[in-house]
Amino acid sequence: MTMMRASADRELHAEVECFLFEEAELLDGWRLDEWADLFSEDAINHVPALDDPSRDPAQSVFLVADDLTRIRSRVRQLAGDSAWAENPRSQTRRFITNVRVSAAEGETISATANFLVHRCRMERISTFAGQYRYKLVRHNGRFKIAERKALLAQDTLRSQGTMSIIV
Amino acid sequence: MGLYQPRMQSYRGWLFVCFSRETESLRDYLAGTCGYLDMILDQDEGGSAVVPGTHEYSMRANWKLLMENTVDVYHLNSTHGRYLRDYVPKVLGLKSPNPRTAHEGSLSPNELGNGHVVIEYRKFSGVADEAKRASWEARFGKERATRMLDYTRTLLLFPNTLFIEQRRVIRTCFPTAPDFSEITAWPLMPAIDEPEVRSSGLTYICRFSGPPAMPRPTTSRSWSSFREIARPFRDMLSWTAPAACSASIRFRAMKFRCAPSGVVGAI
Repeated sequence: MTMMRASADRELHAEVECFLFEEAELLDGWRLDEWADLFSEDAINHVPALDDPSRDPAQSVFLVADDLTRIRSRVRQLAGDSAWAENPRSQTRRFITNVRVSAAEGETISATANFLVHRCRMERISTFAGQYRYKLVRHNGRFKIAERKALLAQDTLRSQGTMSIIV
Repeated sequence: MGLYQPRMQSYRGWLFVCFSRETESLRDYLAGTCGYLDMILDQDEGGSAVVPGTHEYSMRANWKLLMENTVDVYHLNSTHGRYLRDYVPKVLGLKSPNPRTAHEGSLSPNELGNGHVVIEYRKFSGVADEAKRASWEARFGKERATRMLDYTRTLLLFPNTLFIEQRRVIRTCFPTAPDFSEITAWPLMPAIDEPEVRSSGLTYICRFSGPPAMPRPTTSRSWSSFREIARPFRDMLSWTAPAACSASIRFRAMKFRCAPSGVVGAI
C-alpha cells in the first residue's frame, strides 16, 4: 500500500510539474489566450503587494488581484498593439523549479513551485523571482487553475521599474 | 544633543514635515489647495485613511514628467485607448467615453499658487453615487455637492505629491538621478471600514493605478521613451525644465513644445 501510494504521489507530482512547464511555455511564447484558458471560471490570479504578502485583497492593495474577467482583459491588452510598455514585446524565459505537491483533497490539488522569470526588452535585462502557490482542479481529464498566487522575493519593484509582463 | 528638529504642522489630520526654518507656514504654503483637499477628503464621510499595501516602483525618466503627466487629461486616447475602449465598458460596466472627447467636461488646469495645480473633470457616467446627493446638498450646498459628486480632482501639491481622487491614490516621486525616479503610491480609502466600498476601491487601484495595472506600465514606458526620443533636444529641455516646474503656465508651455504622451502616442 505504501509503495502504491508513493507511486501515485510520484505520478501526480510529474503530472503537476508537466502542467506548470506547459504554462510557462505558453507565457514565454506569448500564447496568452491559451494561458487564460488554463483558468477555471471562478479562478483568481494574485500578486500581493510586496510589503506584506499575507494580507487580504479586500483589505489592502495588491499588485495583481484578477478574476477570470480581469485575466482576459489583461490578455486582450497585452495581445493588442496599444500596450506601449510591451510594444515591442519583452523576451522572457521562465524557470520553474522546486515543484511540490502539498495536498490533494478530492479533485483539488495544492502545489507550490519556485520561479525565475528572465526578461529582456530593448537591451535591458531584469528578473522576477519568487514562489507560486497553486490550487489546481481536474476538468475533463486536464488541470485547470483555480487559484494562482505569485509571491515575489523582493521588497520593491524599483529595480525592474514596473511589471508589464505576466509574472 | 543638538539634534535638528524639523517643523511639523497638520491639515485635516495630515502631518506635513518641513526641514527649513525659513519656509512659510503650512497653511500659507498650501495656498489655494485647501478647498480642493477638502473636496477630496470629504468624499469619505468618516474621514480618509491610508490603508495597507504600498506600490513602490521606478521609471527611467525625470521626476517632473510624472507630475506633468498626472495633471493632464488629453493623453487618455493615445496612451490609454484600450482602457477607454475595453476596460471601462467590459469590466467596469460603464458607458465608454468617446476617446476623442474624453477630456471634455474637464475644467482647465487651475493654478493654486506656490506651484500647486489641480485638474477637475467629469466622472464617467454611472459612477456618481446618487444616493448621496440629497444629503451632500444639505451638508455642502448644491454647487459644492455637484462638484464633489459629478467631478473628480487630481491635485498636485508642489513639488511632488499627487492626490488622485478618482483612483483613490496618493502618489509621490523622488529623483535619484536626473533621469531616474522612484515612485511610491498608497491607497486612500474611507477610514470607516465599509467592506464593499474598500474592496471595490482597492480593486480599482489594483486594476488601474498599480505597477502592473493597465495604464501604469504604458505611461511609465512613455516617460522613458520620451527621454530617449528627446535626447537631441536635451539642451533646450534643460533650459526650459527648471522654469517649467515652478508654475503651471510654464507646464503648459512645456506641454505644447514636447508633450511626452502625445509624442509617443503618435508613434
